[in-house]
Amino acid sequence: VSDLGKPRWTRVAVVVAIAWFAPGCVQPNPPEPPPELDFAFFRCDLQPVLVKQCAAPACHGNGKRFFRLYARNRLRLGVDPLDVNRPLHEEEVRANFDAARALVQGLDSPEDSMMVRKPLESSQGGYYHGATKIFRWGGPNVFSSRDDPGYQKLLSWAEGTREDPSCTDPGKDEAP
Amino acid sequence: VQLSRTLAALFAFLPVVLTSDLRADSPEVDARVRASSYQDNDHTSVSTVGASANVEIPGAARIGASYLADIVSSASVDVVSAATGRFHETRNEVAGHAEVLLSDAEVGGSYRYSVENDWRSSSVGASSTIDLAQKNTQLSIGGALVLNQVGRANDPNFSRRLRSYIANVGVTQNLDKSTLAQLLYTASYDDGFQSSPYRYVSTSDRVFTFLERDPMTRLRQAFGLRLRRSLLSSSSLGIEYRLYFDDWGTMGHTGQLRLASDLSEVTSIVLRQRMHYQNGASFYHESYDRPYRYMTVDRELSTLWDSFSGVQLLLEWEKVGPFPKIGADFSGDFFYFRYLDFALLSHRIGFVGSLGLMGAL
Repeated sequence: VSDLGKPRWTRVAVVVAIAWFAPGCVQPNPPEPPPELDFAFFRCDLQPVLVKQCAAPACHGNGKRFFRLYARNRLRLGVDPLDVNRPLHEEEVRANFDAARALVQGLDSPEDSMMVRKPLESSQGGYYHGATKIFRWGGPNVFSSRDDPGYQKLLSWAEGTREDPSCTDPGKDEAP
Repeated sequence: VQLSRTLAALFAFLPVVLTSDLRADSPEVDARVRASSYQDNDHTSVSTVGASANVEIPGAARIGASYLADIVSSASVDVVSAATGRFHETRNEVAGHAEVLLSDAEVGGSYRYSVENDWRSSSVGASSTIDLAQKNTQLSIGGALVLNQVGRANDPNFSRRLRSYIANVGVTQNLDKSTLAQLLYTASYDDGFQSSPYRYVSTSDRVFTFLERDPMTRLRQAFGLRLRRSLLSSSSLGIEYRLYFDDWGTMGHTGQLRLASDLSEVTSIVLRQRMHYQNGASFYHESYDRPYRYMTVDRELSTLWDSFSGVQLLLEWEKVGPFPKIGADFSGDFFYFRYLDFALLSHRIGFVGSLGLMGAL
């Protein structure tokens, strides 16, 4: 350490000491929206899977759930009870999209997220999912394998795959 | 496997202890058992049983081992709000320590291993104390490394790492014949997964619900000052203050009064009162208007104060049958927690009671 270095090291030590002891030094917490995943892919490819597999009233078609899904003839958002079989309106699809993408965040990577791992069978690396005990009597999880097409769509969307914005939503047609 | 390793390590140390000073006096052995019970109005109960044994060769070494089990049953607001029912779990913990006693110093190490269905923890520590100024001053220094594996109940695939590095220094000083002062500083750095894998946090409009997300690192620091003074011939008064702060923005103030008095040759009583106030972590909000990097519903990170009021009765007899000394203690503490900005629970009251038995061999 040169003569010029000594006072510099002293200053560094003082700064470190102040930073170490200062109770006012806190980690910043800026606003951070959920990941910008593709809305078109969700609407056309993933939502039909979720609606079919997860939106029963005893499961996630329930307003009390943290992850709740709106679906035709099931949980609806601001829809007249006589019209519950009408296609989902834009606000409901957007709510499903926001609920799903929020759960892609929070762990190490999209593949490790609760959204992707909870519906996957435990033997395939899935996390514990209460549904297997409560509603399936210890039976299989939503996706029994990583090769399940529904799981592939979920993982693909979570990892950022995009879809043509003009894609067709299979659930948009009026009920016969 | 971990249990057997711990026991093996303790037995491996035993010859060192027993041969460390051949001039030492005969060993002093004591064994203790303890049972305690915790109950609060948030539908949580914890029963604890534990046993420990210590061997000390005066002036040479000390070694000890302990075991305890916590049996927890809870349907607290944390549990209910996560849409799950009451849970029951058991935590088992084994620990061991060994110290070499030198003329003006003591050097020791410790190990602790605990396991429950969603948490596994190993801790290794080292500590040393040095007597100075004809034993009127004592310096202490210590450190520990805690390795935690955070899991989820019934989930073999969820595992996250949390490491804690802990250091502490302290100085104890005899101020006069009847007054003792102690100054302590503790720092710890936690690195890893510190959220709950069970808790979810919603924005106030309920559009977004996230898995709770706390920062991955936390630097904690605390200063403590203790004063103890003898009163009359058979009583003492202790006063403590502790300042805690961390880089999550939490700052806590804790004060405690402790009055101990010998009621007779075999009976003594301790009265204690502890008060604590903390402001919440900077990223804790009762509700979140929009998504933030860190979001939590951990009530222990909210602004709160609490009070513990307790009494402890100690009994000690000498030369009873084959025992040079036996003892028993009973204690009970009422507590009250007031959460100032936690929507799900405004307060928590409860009681902790314990019974301990000791026998020296």
